[in-house]
Amino acid sequence: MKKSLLLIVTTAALTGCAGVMPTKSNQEFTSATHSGNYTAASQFALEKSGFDPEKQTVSDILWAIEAGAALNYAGDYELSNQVFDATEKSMKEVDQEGFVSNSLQTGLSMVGNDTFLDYEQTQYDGVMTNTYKAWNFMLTGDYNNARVEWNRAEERQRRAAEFFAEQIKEQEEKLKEEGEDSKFNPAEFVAKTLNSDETRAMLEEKGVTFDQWKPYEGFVNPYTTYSYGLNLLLNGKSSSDFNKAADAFKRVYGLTNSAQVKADLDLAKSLAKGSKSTDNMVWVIFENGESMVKEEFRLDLPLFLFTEDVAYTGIALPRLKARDQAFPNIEVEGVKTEVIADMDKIIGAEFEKNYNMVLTREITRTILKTVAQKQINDSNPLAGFAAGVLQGAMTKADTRTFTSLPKQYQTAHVKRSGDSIKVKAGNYEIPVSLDTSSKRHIVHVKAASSSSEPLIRVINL
Amino acid sequence: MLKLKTLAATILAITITGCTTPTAYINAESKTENIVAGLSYADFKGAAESMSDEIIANKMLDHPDANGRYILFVSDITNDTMQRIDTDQLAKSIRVKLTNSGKFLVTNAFTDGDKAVAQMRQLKDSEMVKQSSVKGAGQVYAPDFSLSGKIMQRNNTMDNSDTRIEYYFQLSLTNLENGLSYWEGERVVGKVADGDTVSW
Repeated sequence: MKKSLLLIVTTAALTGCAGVMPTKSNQEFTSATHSGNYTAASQFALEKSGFDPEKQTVSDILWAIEAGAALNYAGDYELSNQVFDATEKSMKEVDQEGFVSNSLQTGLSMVGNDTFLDYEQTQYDGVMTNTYKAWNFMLTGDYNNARVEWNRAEERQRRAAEFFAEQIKEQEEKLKEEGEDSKFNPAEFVAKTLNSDETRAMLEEKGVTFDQWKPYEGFVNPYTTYSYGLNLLLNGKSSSDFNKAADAFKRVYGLTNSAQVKADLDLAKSLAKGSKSTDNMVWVIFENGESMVKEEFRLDLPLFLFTEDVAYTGIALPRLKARDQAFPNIEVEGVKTEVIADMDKIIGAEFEKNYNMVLTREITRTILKTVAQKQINDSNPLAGFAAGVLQGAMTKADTRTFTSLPKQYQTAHVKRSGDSIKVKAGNYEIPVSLDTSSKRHIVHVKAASSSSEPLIRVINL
Repeated sequence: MLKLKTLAATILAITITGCTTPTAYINAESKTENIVAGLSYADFKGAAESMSDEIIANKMLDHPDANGRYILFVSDITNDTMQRIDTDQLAKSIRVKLTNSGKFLVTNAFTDGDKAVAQMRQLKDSEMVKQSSVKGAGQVYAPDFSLSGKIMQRNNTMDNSDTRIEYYFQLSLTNLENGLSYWEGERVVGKVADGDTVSW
């Protein structure tokens, strides 16, 4: 009896933690970004991020990257970079978290749920952090520091490719080990549930995908690589820079087959040879719609460990939820933008890669809790019922995602004839003034939805 | 029991306060202590000194007049690394060493140099200034040589998952009369850092 009381108290105490868990009350934020109110969105996210301007630290990585992105859209590029810099410090700490800290967190999550784990940045979170920073520098005319951030973004991409290659290798080795182990393994049941066709079919019916999203080859985010190339094309100082730009465009062309990127590639090659110029050219970058997010769904898995004594047997898991594009494309001086990166593909691929881990944790935790609950129930049915209610309250999926990203990135380039160009996005026709004392221009268009006027920023180089 | 609690509190206090590093002077030139994955003074100084020595020893850069000095313009040194560094950290050490060698004079009259060279010539119209002291036209020397280059960074993951970082200091000294490079130098600084996280 004492034991069951202790367990209930512990569970209740932990449920109490639910109030301080990093649950994301992000409706206010997402509706602000959806309607293009980036000032409100950035203020909201900045407060949630725990950004300390004196110490240059943040307390919540996810809200910090949301704040950094929203500040970029709100035009506060300097603060955006300060927040992103502070976020990178926190990301570094997460990267270097030791075995003890990780085990403690996983242990805590076993009693509670995955939202008890610190938010661990995805690979694309890291890549996009440096990508946003680089654009912040570009937008303030600091091309030297922009180049540093583009190099960092590309380095993160190199690390991501190695991370996934290592992850695949580890999973293959684990499977092989499990096959060789003929002794009884407590995790065997988890593995069986995980790998059963029935579980898979039930999850698929709920909208979970396992191999719908193929990553871009080499786990590249082509938007980052394209932007890296564009910076070298427009700010390059030597043929070596233009050759690097050509390499970047070649990679993106191989992934997207975009005719616009092919033209960029040819231009970079010509510049490397000293012919052609980029004078009077305008590049348009279009951030289209809103990227996929995660949502929770609940499901009762038919685990044979469960008996009629148990009051609660459900699990909660995340699944992907697509959001809309704003427009199929936009038109600049009659030229349509083309897709260079599908963020949903990048997010989906990384989500699917990690899904088995999420599933394993959820099933393991459900089994542990259910067995404990059964023990309480056997000694005191009322306490067992109470434990069941608590378990239900604790069952929660981790749906934390970087929501400020667009669904797609598109590009096009045109030659300007006067001092302005016209951007046509759905029903909006927006004239954009260009500083003719500059020879090259980048017009950055962001449209989260079709219902609000796109945000346009111009870089005169 | 109380003793146990006190002990536990003491251990906790030591654990917490034990993390604070007291402020101290370090030897900034040391390549064996307080090493960072990024670029430090020791790296800049090492590269700058050995490259300067090479330039000074180069016979092609001896001025034909016994007491003559070539005029050097420090052009663009690109930061192509993942570190937010000021490439002047490299350029400054080289300028100092070349000037002190007695073979070169460095011009500050042009891009990113000392704006006062041009600005103070505007004083020729000032009623306040003694006109005979205003620096006149046609007196600033054009440079003979230009120093340019870049600092690059390459990262690779090793078999043990650590990151091998290489920094390339690449410089060229171009004769502005004929456009030919009279000296080229490269120094590579290699470091190994924890591969669990990024190197900046």
